[in-house]
Amino acid sequence: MLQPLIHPLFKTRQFEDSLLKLIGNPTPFIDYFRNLWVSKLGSVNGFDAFLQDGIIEKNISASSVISEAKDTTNTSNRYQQAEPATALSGASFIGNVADASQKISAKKGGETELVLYEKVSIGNGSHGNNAWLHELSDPISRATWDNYAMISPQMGESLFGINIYDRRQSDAYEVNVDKPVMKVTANGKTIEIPVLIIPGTHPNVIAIALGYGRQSSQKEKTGEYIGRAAENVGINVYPLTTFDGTSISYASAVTVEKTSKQFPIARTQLHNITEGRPIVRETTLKDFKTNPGKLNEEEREELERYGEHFVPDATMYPTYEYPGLKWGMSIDLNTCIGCSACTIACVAENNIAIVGKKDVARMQDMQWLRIDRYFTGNPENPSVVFQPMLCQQCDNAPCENVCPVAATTHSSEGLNQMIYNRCIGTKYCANNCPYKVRRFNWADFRGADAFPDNQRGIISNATADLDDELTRLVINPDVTVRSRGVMEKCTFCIQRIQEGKLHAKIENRPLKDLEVKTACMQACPTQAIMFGNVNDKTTRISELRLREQKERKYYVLEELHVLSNVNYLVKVRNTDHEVGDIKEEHHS
Amino acid sequence: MSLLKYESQLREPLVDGDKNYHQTTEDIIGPIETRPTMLWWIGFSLSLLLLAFGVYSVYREVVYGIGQWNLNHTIGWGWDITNFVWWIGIGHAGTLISAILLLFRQGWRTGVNRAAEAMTIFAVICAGQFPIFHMGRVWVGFYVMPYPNSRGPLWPNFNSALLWDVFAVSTYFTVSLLFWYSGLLPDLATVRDRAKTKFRKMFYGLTSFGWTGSTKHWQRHESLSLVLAGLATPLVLSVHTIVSFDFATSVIPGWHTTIFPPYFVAGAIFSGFAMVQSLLIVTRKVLHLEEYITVGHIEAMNKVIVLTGSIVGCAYLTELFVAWYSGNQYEWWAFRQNRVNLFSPYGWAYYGMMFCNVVSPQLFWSKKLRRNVTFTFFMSVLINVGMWFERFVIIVTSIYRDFLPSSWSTYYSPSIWEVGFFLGTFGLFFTCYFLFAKFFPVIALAEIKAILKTSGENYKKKMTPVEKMDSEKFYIEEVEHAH
Amino acid sequence: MKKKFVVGSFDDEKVLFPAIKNVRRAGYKIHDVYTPFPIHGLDHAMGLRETSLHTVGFIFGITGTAIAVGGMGWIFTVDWPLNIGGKPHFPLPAFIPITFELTVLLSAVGMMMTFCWLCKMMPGVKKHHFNLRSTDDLMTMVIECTPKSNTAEIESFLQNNGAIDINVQEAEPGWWFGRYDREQKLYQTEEVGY
Repeated sequence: MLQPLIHPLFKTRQFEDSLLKLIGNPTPFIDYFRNLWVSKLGSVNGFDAFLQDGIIEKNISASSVISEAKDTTNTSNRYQQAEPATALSGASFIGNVADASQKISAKKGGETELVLYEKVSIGNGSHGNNAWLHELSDPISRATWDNYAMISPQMGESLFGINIYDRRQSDAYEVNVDKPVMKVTANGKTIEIPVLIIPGTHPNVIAIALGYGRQSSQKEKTGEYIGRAAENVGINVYPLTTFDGTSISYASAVTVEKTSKQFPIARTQLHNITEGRPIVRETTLKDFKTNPGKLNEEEREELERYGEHFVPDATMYPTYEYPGLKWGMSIDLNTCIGCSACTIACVAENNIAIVGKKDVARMQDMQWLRIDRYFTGNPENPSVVFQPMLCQQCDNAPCENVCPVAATTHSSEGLNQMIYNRCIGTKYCANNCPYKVRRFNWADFRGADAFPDNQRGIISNATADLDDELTRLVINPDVTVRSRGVMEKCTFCIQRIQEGKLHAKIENRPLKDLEVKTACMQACPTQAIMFGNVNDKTTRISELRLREQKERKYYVLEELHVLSNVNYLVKVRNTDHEVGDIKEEHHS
Repeated sequence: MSLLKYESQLREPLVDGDKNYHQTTEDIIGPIETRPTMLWWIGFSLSLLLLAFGVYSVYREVVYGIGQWNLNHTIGWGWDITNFVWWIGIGHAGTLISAILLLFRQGWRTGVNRAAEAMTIFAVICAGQFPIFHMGRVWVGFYVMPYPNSRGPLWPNFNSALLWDVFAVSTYFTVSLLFWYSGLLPDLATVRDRAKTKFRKMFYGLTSFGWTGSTKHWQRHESLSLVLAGLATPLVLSVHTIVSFDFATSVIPGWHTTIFPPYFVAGAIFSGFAMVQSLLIVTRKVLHLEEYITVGHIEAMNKVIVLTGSIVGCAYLTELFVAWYSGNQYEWWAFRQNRVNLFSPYGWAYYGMMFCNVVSPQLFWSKKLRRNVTFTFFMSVLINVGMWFERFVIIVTSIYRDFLPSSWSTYYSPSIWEVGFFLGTFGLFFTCYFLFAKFFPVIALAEIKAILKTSGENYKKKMTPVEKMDSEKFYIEEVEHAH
Repeated sequence: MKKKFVVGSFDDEKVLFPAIKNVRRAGYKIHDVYTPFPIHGLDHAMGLRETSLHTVGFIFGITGTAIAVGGMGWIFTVDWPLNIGGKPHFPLPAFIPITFELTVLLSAVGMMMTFCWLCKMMPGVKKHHFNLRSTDDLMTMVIECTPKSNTAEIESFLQNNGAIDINVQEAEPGWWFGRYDREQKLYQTEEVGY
């Protein structure tokens, strides 16, 4: 039996109906199914009881069904099946490890080595028609909608004359969307592909993502057959792989050549380093153990003068009380791996529009939650810090003050609310947001506008594809879609908060900790995001902030006194290498 | 009449040539009573073309969204607000000339105030288009007005500098319009009473509100002008102050600066006078008004330009110093890297601004250059280009790289529709100005008549024997006259 | 109702001032003096009282101030108190710009409207013009006649005092709605024009 039942979509036929049709049975599946079970259970009443209960009780006389029902009623069995199969857990490697690893890491001859890899979003290309994943920035390169050759700064300098450690050249390279194109020849095959200079890449390695350049056998029908998101996205580099008869090799020696061409790459983050700003904080395990309080020493000294209640004490103005619930979030930079699952969860939960390559290239992208990536440590061999950045729900929100129509105000639960139908779209709030997390509806991305026929040729084909009648069904009914010209931003999944509160109210009990989870928190595989009520000192988030991770807690741009409600936990590295911001001096 | 009512010959005459009251009327009203010249038609058609392009640009933006422009989530304001501040700055000279110079009893204002006020009003109209159409949903733009409504008690946010702007700009427009129009009434009546054609009788009859020139009306009119001038003086200072609050009350490095109000006001007067120069130098030539808008007038305005230009220069250096002295790394970055660094993406804008606004006006210390009309015209255009750079520098170079380097923007250059919108406001401005120059007296006729006998060239010549008189004899004559 | 006037024009304000003095001393009633530009001291010479238009401006201005502070205060504290960016409900410094602007706006608009009302001026209003050159280069003195007045005597009096272009006119002293390119009167009031 199928649950939940939905009405057929448009003029479609249920799968089972098709099967019946194939075997030449004209009965509709619902009648066929009913007849089958009525005959098995012996009566219409029995069938109705089965429908109502959802299970078949043992005392039902039809003994033939009991054994069948047994498996389905015992739900715990199903979960046990998820355990690793014995064949896998028992597997052991019996070869020479050193030899094998040497083989794998050996240089594949020639000056330059090509590495073909799968991106976290597109994978081997099976997601090549998924617009959400195309628009998801690569965790390291922060590029969308394309594959490209990642090359080292050394190669960038020798091949294209771009020294990204020189401020003047890096400025020009950074703000320009058009990137140089390189000719890559491997196994007698040549492709031309744009390059991105990524610090930390091995000087003699270029890396290109697989799975792009997907197209139908009739190239011009790609959009129609595969999906318009797949049209003209990247270059297929599978031809550069080699097959030695037993396995496919994804690395090979190549020759690279400079071309005079340029190609636009749409990136959501252009600048690589923090410029010495205390935005992401790192330390080594050794330092942390010796002096855990050193990390937020400056803030502590500053705030000590005011004690526990520095918010009301440090201002001449009256302050607002937040009785009852007050929402807060804690993000652990240690555990964030930059996988971007939170971003996609947020896109799915909040009906966020995708905008297509052209608009990402001019930074009109819409994602509410982004993962900032900074290179830190030694500039020649940098480390990477990922920092999920979303609306900080500041209590002294700069965005709220500047809205002329009071379309964004503060709730009694400390949320920075956005009232879409009051918004007139001055973009002043986005300008005044120090975190730049507000997103504007530059066009009618969702077809939610009163102006008819104002999307054709304006929004990307992929965006339009997501607006067709069928795809629109993925839109979360709990969240309104935004029309053109209004500002939007992270709401801490207000719809989930409301749902949680309503449940609690119906059951006449206080809201439990972790009962409300934001979409990003739910999706995070490493539990880097914690969300909860900070007024209650027993919740997980209070536990983190006040006790467990007290020394690691800091707020981004705390010096602006915007009183953000999202704190970050300092990244602690177990390493002897240099950690921390790349400073200007290193550039010279 | 006392001899002392005459002005010293040491002062340059404000009206050149042998004039009497009727001659001034002929000179100033004359152009209104002739058919437009070919030059006028060409200029007017070009303005209309520009306006049409602007209207289409705005149409695209309204129907398809702000995405028609190249703004992004980091640079929320670009050409739109740059142009707004630029135009509103230009719109400061008129009221300043009429109001502040009236209070300071500067006689030379009479030659230029009418055209300058008209320019103010047109510039404010142009300026107003940008905040209106920079809204994503311009059709609900009326939400900014505080009025009781059926959407519950919904009111605007009185903390927002943008709302202050709404009040400041609309008040400024209204008061400037009233001031300008109240001054126009007697002159329109003059045109009406000379009118020969049916259309002119009807049109100027309507627009002159039935003005007769009654002494009581003149008395009230003088009182009205004086109080409006008194109101407009702080108003003109408040408008650009409030425009500067858009930036000064924000948190963005490069915007959050207490020096902005005086700095903006000085810049506004600076650019406004430059625009008045550009327009009047052409107008006096085309309408043959050199005897009313004399080289002396141009020199007086050039003096204001060199003063305000120097104030602006001081402000630039002060904010640069304070950015360094503050020790605030974000603020210092906005100046050191986003602006002063010539090789940063927008370095050109900062140095363009410095050259046009600070360096070049210093040439006006030379009297010869101050009195050179061609040079003044060239400089006035240069200054307005520089002032556009200033607004662009303030707005774009501050926000394109602010707090979080992760959000630093790509290179912002305007789309064709952003440029089109700007060009369209030029079309609007010049369409209005051409109509004004054709249908309205471009010089305040009644005010010229009021100073004619004190500051007219031919009348001042009569002062020669008086000035040569010895003081005792002069005193005796004066006393005799008085009693 | 039409009245009879003796109209004499002057081409120099130096002649006008003594003439006014003499006319007033002689006991004639000056209906008005029409001038192409404001002549300072003329109102005093004619014995007109000071205008109180500036007081009107002040009253309107104060009204604007009160509306602004009262309105914003009421909205933010009583009608619709909101937490906007953690700012207090009665942020007086933030109210200053709008308060100032409303003060100026109401004062200016109020004064202009009062001016138009007092002078009976608006589009479509028409009045009798004794001498069309009085908006160009002549100052026109209009002396109102009583039934007992000897117009010839007044004419010669004016001539002796330097007037040129002297005549006697029967005219409507009030205002009416009409068009300057047509003669008809659309609406008329008995009120005197000032």
